Parts: sequence; C-alpha cells; structure tokens
Amino acid sequence: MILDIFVLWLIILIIAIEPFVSNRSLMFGVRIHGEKYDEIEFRKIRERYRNLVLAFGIILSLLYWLISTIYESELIFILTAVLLLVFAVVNYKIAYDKTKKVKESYNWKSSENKVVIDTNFRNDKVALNNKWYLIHIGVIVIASYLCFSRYAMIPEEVPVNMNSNGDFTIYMTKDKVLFITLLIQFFTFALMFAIHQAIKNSKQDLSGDLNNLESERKILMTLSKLIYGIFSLVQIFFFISILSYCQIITYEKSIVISQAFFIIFTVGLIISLFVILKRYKNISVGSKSYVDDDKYWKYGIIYFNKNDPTVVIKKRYGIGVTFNFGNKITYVICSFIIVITVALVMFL
Amino acid sequence: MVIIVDLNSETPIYIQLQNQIIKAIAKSELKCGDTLPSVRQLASDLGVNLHTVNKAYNNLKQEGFLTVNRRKGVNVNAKEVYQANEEYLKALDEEMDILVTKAIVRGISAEELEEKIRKIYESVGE
Repeated sequence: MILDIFVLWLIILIIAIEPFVSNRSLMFGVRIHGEKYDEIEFRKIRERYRNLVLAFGIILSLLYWLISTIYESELIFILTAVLLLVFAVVNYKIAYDKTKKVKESYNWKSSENKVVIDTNFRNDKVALNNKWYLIHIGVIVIASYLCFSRYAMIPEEVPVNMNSNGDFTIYMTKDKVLFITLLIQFFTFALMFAIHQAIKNSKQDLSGDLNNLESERKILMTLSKLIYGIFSLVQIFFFISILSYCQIITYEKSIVISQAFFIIFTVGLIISLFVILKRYKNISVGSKSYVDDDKYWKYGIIYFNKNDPTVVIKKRYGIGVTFNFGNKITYVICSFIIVITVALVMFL
Repeated sequence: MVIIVDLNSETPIYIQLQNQIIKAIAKSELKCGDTLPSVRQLASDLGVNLHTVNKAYNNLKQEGFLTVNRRKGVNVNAKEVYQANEEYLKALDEEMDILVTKAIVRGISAEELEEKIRKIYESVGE
C-alpha cells in the first residue's frame, strides 16, 4: 500500500517537473527560442501544468487510499494508473496547444531553418563498445548450460507467480518455463543490440550549431549506457530465476536478490536521467541555434518525416528512442514486435 | 567536413550539397581518398530524401570528383581524375559566355568582373 503510493507519487513528480528540467528551446514538444523560455506567458503555462498535476495527484492518491482500505484488489491500482495516464495526456495536450498559440503570436521567422552536420561526427565514440555484448552472451550461455546440466534436478512444476502474502499462485511445467525464460533472454539481447546499432547510426541533432557536437556525442553515449543498464537488469532478473529453477538458490532468496537489484536500478536510473537532462540543458540556446522541426513532430512527440530514411530516432528530450512513423520499415518492425509479443503471451 | 543545408532556400538541396562538397575539395578540406558518409547516413543526418543525396553524389561522380562504391563507400578522387580537359573547357566556355554576357547587359565592367573572380580565387586559397 505505502509502496503503491510511493510509486504513484514518483510518476506524478516526474510528470510534474518534466517541463522544468527539459531543454530551454523545447517546451511541451514545441520548439521555441531559448531566450524566451522565461517569458511570463511561457512560465504561466508551465506553472499551471505543474499545479494541475500536483492537485490531481493529491486527489488521486487520497481516493486510492480510501478505496483500497475498503476493497482489496489489484484492479484498483491498475485503474488508478490508467486514470493518471489519461489525465497526463489531456493535461499535456492542453499545455501543448497553449504553447503553440503563444509561439504563433511571436511570429518567429523560419528563415533560420538550417541543418548543420559534421561528417566526422562518428569518428569519436557515440555508443558503448561491442565487447559489452559479450557479457550478455556469456550470461545466456551459462543459463542454457545450467538448464541442460541440471535438468533432472528441476522439479516438474515450477512456480511463476506469487501473491502479496508470499504464497505461490501459478505453477507451470518446467519445459515451458525454461524455454520461455531462455527465449526472453535471447530477445532481450537482440533488442538491446538493435537499439545500440540505431544509436550508433543516430541522426546528428546539433540544433544548427557546431558547438553542440561534443555534448551531442555525450548525450548519445549516456543514452547508450542507460539502455545497456536497463537491458542488463532484465537479463539479471531472468538469470536469477533460472538459478532458482535449477535449485542453486532458493525461490525466497531469488526474490530478495531481485528486489535489491530493482532498488539499485531505480536509483541508477534516476541519477542517469538527471545527468542526461543536465547535459541537454547545456546545449546552447541562442537564436542562432533555432531549428524549427515542429512540423515533423506530431503533438511534439511522434516523429513523422516521409523524406527521412531514419527508422529509429533519438527522442527530442534525449532520453530513449522512438520510430519514424513516416517510414514504411517502421510499420514492418512494429508489426514484427507485436506478433512476437502476442505469440509469447498466447504461449504462456 | 561541415555541411550546412538551408531547408527554406530556393536552391535545391542537392545543389547545395554538391556546391559545398566541391568547395571543400577546392579548399583541400577534402583530400584524395577521404571518405564521405554513405547515402543513407547523410540523408538520415540531414533528414532529407535518399534520392536527394543520391542525385548530388551521382552528379559529382559524373564530374569525376567522387567514386561511389557500394562496398567501400564514397571517396574523393585524385586530382588527375577531375582535372580540366577539353570537354570541360568547352562547357566552361559556354557557361562563361552567358554569365559574362548577362553581366555586360547589366552594366558591369571587365575590371569589376575580374575583381570578383580574383576574390573567389583568394577565398579558396589558390
């Protein structure tokens, strides 16, 4: 219960501070002149957005607390999360529209729409070295070896789910569980590999100013490390469960270890988010570096550019990657991912 | 090499690209054997169509400045390959003819025109 509310507020705070920590030339997904960021009209929009999120958060968590003292159901938390999500989207859209309106009133000339690139951009490292993949491959190989060598020792039925009282609720046959676990480990690796290749070939986002070259490289490098960290955690989770299936550690121990990793990961994630955002703030914001790319970003977040052959593109805020929905290949990849996910879920 | 493309300019993007690469070669920023990004990479970086970059590279290839190889990528040719030959001189004469005639019609003297040519030579550093 306390943990639920803690998680809820973590999300609420992230939503609330988002426009205050992002790049000064980007507000609610709308490109603006960096030096106008502190103008009263823009400040008002940001403050109103934040106050609304906080007010809604307080009401929502009170409601959640009240209802969950009466009923006990996992559904309540899911419903609360959905409500928060819907609110966040609506609130963002309102702020986006308002920012756009204010921007239009400034009537900025788009004559400065110049793209600057350096052909030597990728001569310096922008992503982690390939040898880091070896660790993941090693983990998968060890996990497969353990499954085969200790196959006879694994009980026929393996627990895969636990309720909040610590009792196992769902059991599955060992063949199924081992196969799915190893498959997920492999897909985790494949996905990480694909994203890393995308980062290596990522578009240079210099905001029309060569001085941003170094910081852009650093942003990509940090992003690469962040992705590696997230996927390594998933890999560790499944490796720990393999260890517990093979009776090397007890189920109880595996859960404690997973939780410890989860906490370390969350702290690491928050730190790296701040590092990336700080780097992004440092990107120069003079009027010279104003490149209006709004028309390619629907609602400020969905990239749609038919002319651009890029498939995977870095998000505008610098954290994470997204697809170019103007490219046909994107739809092929997306349907492939959906088919695999659906197949896995049906299989389970 | 730094490439700057003005997306709002009336000059087509492939011509902007072409001109900048020729300028970089003239200024020795690009030397014989230097590699340029692949068509896909450059188009992706600039956020422009593959055909745009392809057109620029192909034109430069035809003029002898670049070698475009699927495997080895895009490389700058040796000076000997694109040095002025008869064919080029003939094309130059034609282009100069119309350019200079236009200038004469608009009342620009021979000295002024010479001065302009000298300035271009100086800017390239020849």
